Amino acid sequence: MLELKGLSKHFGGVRAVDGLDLRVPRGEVFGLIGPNGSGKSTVVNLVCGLFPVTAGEVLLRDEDITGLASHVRVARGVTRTFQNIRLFGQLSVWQNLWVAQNSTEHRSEGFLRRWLGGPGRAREEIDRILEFSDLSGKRDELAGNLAFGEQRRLELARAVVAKPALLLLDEPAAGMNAEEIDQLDARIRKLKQDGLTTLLIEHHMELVMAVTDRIAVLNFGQKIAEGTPDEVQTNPLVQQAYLGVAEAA
Amino acid sequence: MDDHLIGIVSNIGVISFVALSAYLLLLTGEISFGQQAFFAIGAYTSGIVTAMWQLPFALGLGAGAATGAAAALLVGLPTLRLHGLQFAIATLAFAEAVRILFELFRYQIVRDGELVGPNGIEGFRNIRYIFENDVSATEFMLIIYGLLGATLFGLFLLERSRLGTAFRMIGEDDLLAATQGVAVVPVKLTAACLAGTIAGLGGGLYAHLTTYVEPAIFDVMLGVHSLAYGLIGGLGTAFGPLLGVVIDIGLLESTRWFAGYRMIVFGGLVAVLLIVRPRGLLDEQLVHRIRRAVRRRPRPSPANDTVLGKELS
Repeated sequence: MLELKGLSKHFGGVRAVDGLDLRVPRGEVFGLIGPNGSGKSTVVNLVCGLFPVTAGEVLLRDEDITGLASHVRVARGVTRTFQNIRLFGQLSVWQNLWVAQNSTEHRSEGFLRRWLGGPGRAREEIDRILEFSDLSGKRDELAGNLAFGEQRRLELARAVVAKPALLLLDEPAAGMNAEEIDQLDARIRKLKQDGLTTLLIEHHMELVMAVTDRIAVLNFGQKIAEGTPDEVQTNPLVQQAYLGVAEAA
Repeated sequence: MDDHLIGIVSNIGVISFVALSAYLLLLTGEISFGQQAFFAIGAYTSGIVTAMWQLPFALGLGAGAATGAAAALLVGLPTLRLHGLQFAIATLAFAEAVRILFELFRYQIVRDGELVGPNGIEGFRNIRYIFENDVSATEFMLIIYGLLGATLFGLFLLERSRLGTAFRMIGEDDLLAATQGVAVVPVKLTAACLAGTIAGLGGGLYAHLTTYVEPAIFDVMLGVHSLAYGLIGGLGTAFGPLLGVVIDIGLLESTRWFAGYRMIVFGGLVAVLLIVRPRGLLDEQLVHRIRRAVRRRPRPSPANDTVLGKELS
C-alpha cells in the first residue's frame, strides 16, 4: 500500500529522517516506534504532504505521490490524526466530520453539489461513524467544547470518515487512560477488519505490541530494526536505542 | 419616514456591503485593509455605465459587481499566497494605489451640454440616474435592502454549504484544512472573488445613492471601519457585521449624543471588544447557542456522556 524509498528530510543540519526504506503491506497495521526525536512524526508529515521531502520517494499503491499537495493526497486516500489534537473548535462535531467526508467519497460529484450542497446528504454515514466513535450524543456540540477524550475520538472519526485507504495515526493514545486505550485498541482492530491499512506511531508499547502486525524501529532518522512485535521486542539494537546504552546503528 | 432617517437607513444598507465583504475574508482568517478599493471600483464602473453610457441601472450594478470580482481575482492571485501581516499590508498598498489611480483618472464626455465623468481628484459628479428616472428615496432604500437581503440569503446558504464551512476551516487552521482535503488557495481565491463582488455591488449602490463619488471617500479609514464592523458585530454569522454597521452609523454617526466623539467611542468599542469578545458580539459560541435554542433539540442526556469523557473534562 505504502512504500517509502530512501526518504530523507533534513532541517538545516538535522537529519530528522535519513534514507528510510519502508513497505507497509495492504490491510496491515504497521507500527513505527522509536525514542523521542527519532523522526517518527516527520515520517507522517512527509507521507501526508505537510513538508516537502529532501530526498527520496513516497509511493501509494505503487504510484509516486511525493510531489503532491496535502489535499490531493487526501483525495488519493491518505488521512491522518495529529499528535496534538487539531480540530476545528468553532465547528460542530458534525461539521468537522461532514467536511472531512468531502475529501474522497464525493469526488465524483460535480463541483456545485460537492461544494455548494447543503448538509442534507450522507447523514447515515456520519451517524455510523459517530456511533463507532461513541460520539452520538455530541453531534451538535462545538468541537472546541468537547472533553479531551472526546476530542481524541473525534480526531480518529474524522480521519476515518473520509474512507481512507491508508490511515496515519500519530500517537493516538497520548494522554489516554487505560480504559480509553482499550477502546482505541478495539477501534483499530475493527478498522483493520474493514480492510484499512494503518501506520501507527505510538509510545504506548502495550498498545503497539497488541495491535500491530509488523513494527519498524527508528533511531536518529534511520531504521534500526523491523519485524513482528516479538522479533522487535527481543532485538538487542532496539533495547539499546530505548535504554540509551550505546550509539545505535 | 422622514428624509433624514431614510438617508441614514440607506447609508447603513450600503456600508453593510463593504462590511460583509471584509467579513468574508475575515472568515478565511485574512485581514484585508483593501475592500474599499473594490467598493470604489464598483462605484466608478456603475456610474460610468449609467451616467455616461446611459445604460440601465441593473446593468450598471451588474458591471460594478463584475469588475469588483475581476479586480479581486487579479489582486488575490498574487496576494493570497501571503499570510497575516504581509497580506494585510499588500491589500492596504493595493487599495491606496487604486485610490491614487482614481485621482489621476479622467474620462469625460459631453452629455446635454455638460461634461460628465470621472475628473481626477474632483471626483465623478452627477450620477443622477435615480433622479432622472423618478426613483424616490424610499424606493431606492427598498432597492438597497432588497439586494442586501438577497446577499445575506446567499451568504446563509453559503455558510450551510461545504464551501462556506471550508472558509471557516481555513480561518481556523489552514494546514489542518489542507489535510482534510481542502484546496486552500483556490478556496481562498473564491472567497476573495465573492468579497469583491459584494463590495462592487455595494459601490454601485453607493454611487447612485450619493450621486457623486470622489477618490477621498475610499481612503483607508473606510477599510478599517469595514474590518471593525465584523470584529464588533461578530464573526459567527453574517448578521454580525450588519450589527457593527448599525452600531457605528446608526448610533454613533447619526445621533447627536456622540457628536464629535464618534471616533473615540468607536475606537474604544473596538479595543474593549477585542479584549472581552475577540470574535465580536455575535461570535461562534453565541450563534451556536442561539441555533440550538431555536431548534429546541433536547440536550444530550448525561447518560450519553461516557464516564471517561467526564473524568477527563
